[in-house]
Amino acid sequence: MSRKYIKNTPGRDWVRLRMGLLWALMVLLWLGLWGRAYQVQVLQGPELTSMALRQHRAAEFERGARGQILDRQGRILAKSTSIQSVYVRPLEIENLDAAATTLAAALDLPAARIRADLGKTRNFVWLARQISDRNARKVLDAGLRGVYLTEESARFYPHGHLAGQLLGFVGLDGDGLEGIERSFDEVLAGKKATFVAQRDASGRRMYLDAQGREEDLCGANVTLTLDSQVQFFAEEALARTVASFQGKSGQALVVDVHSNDILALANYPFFNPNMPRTDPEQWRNRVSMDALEPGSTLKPLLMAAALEEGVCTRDSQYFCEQGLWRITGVSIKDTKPHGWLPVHKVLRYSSNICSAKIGMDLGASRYHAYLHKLGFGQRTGLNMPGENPGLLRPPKSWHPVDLAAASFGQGISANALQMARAYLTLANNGVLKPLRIVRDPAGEEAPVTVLFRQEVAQAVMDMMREVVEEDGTGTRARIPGLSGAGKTGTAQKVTDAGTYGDRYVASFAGFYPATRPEYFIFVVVDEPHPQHYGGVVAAPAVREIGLRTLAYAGKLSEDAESVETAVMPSSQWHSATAAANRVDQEPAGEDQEGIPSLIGLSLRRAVERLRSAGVMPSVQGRGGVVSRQEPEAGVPWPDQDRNVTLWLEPT
Amino acid sequence: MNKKPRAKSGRGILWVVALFMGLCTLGLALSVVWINIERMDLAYELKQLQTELERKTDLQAKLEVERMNLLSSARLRSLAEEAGLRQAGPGQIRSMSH
Repeated sequence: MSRKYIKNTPGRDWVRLRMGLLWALMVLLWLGLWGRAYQVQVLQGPELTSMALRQHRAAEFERGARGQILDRQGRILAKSTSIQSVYVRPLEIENLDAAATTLAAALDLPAARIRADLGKTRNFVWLARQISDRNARKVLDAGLRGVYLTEESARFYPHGHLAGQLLGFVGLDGDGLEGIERSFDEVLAGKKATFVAQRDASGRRMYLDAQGREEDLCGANVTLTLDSQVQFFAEEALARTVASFQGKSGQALVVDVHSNDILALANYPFFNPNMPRTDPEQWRNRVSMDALEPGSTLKPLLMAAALEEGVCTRDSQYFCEQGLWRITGVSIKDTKPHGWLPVHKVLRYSSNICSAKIGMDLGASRYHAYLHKLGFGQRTGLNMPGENPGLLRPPKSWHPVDLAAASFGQGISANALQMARAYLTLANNGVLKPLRIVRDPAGEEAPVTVLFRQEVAQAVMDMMREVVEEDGTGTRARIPGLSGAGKTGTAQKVTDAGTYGDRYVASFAGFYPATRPEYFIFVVVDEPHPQHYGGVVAAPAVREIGLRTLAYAGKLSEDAESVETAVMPSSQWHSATAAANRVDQEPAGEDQEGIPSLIGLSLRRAVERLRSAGVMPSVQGRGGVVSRQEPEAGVPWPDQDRNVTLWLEPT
Repeated sequence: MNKKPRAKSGRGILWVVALFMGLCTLGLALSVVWINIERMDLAYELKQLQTELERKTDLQAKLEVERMNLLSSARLRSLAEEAGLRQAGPGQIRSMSH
């Protein structure tokens, strides 16, 4: 029954046939698809994969930011930021004249120069490198075709010329070319790395995984021992001194005696590393690169060597030949004639003749050995590019006159850093320690050497105190309220003919305070005129730097009375301190009316009113309001000893 | 008599399992696609944030340089001179520790 029924339905065969065909077609299609998949995935797979990778991925080069240079207080001395540069593709420029005019106005450049650049037939021309953000915005707003902005890294020195020669500068590609930038380039430079970035259809780049990019590529910071404030004091005093004595150049160094940290290293003329394309002479770090004959500033080291070897004592007498001594046909002169002088006065009056005699008693080999141990003729190891090791000839080649000349600092040469290191040995009780200019990264711990006995070092320090505080050659370095120590230097310069001429190097090396010194200050002025004595030219600069550094560190005496009693009645001293004390000397507006009534005033206001009369009051008690004063209001001001005491009460 | 229904139910289970596996595969495939889309979105977002961070870091660096320039000793000194201030001399400095 069922078979009959099937036979009687003729359409069923067609359905089967159609179904069969459909299945066959499906199978074919599937086979085709699988075949194509096999072809794409297996046969052409590697080739297509690499093509896709080329299309979707791009290598991206990254360079970390250059590290900062900081001073000891964390103030930024050098920092890199990104900055825009403009380039053009001249072939894409549509209206050359209009574009040149627009760009000239946006970039503050001459239109003729811009037009010349735009007219070039190259595909890429730099128009302006490292422009300001404001100018970059103007270029962007102009929307010119064929003009592009790109980001570059630029180095900024926010303090301008401050420590310019020490810091150095970097090139356009960010590599250190001079100074600390060069010697610490490996530390400061950012690391380089190449990463593979994913690229979308519009060319935007992104990262689908970290690829090790979490690693910090930035360069490390370098922290100097420099204090930018002390550096500023040193630079200001040095500039004023070199300018007023019409010197060729100048150097100043301030060192912390306890740590041997260099707090200031100044050169004049100044150099601004923000504008490095200047005269190479300007970026010369004279403090380390110039080795000059030290002159009389070497005498304290001779004294220390002679005392250490027992050649003489502080009170040994030497005859100064009344200012003129001939030795093997060469005349040695003193500035002032002297007869018999004890050793401490030889240093105080800076006698060349007696120094030569002490040197000859000590002998060339022993004197040379001390100078060598103090570091003369060798680099200081401060990692400053192009440091000049100076000249210290072997003692075998020294004739008697050479030994005599070396005894008062002629015939050998040294840079300011070597002088500082040698002087600091005296202040550190005879212990020779290395100088330090970089705090972080910390260098290797250098060994310390004991060169002089403590009593010898202290004896020489006391002699140097006499130079400043007694009637020596360095009285212009006195600071009221505390004692100073130091030594003047006036070295003749060698002419081109090899003889000593009429050009000089004036210098002064000073310590403040004389007992337990805190700061060593060294100032050198090259070829000053008409004055050329170290005590006249360099000592006031050392005093100014010392005064301001001590005030900045809060180490100046507060007691005006002790300041006044400390002042020596010397006309030179008064002229040197007149500028610093001018506030006290100004006529006071309230002078005629006597002492004002200060009761009920705030402490600040009371101090202001007294200040206008040139008086700093003594303050008793705590609080903000004056409750009592001594002397009373209305009492006439005394001509001298204007002392006012204020008693305070809480507000 | 008992064999036929058992075979039928076995095939049914097979179909159910196959269907389940198919659905799982589809679900997993869709998850992979969704995760990839999310990954791309995150990469775009990350890139934007990175660009923003770089821009802000750069601005901060510029501001720091500007701040240091404004606080430089030379500038403060000239401002002090304009304001009529002068350097304190010995005996004119008081340390207020309270």
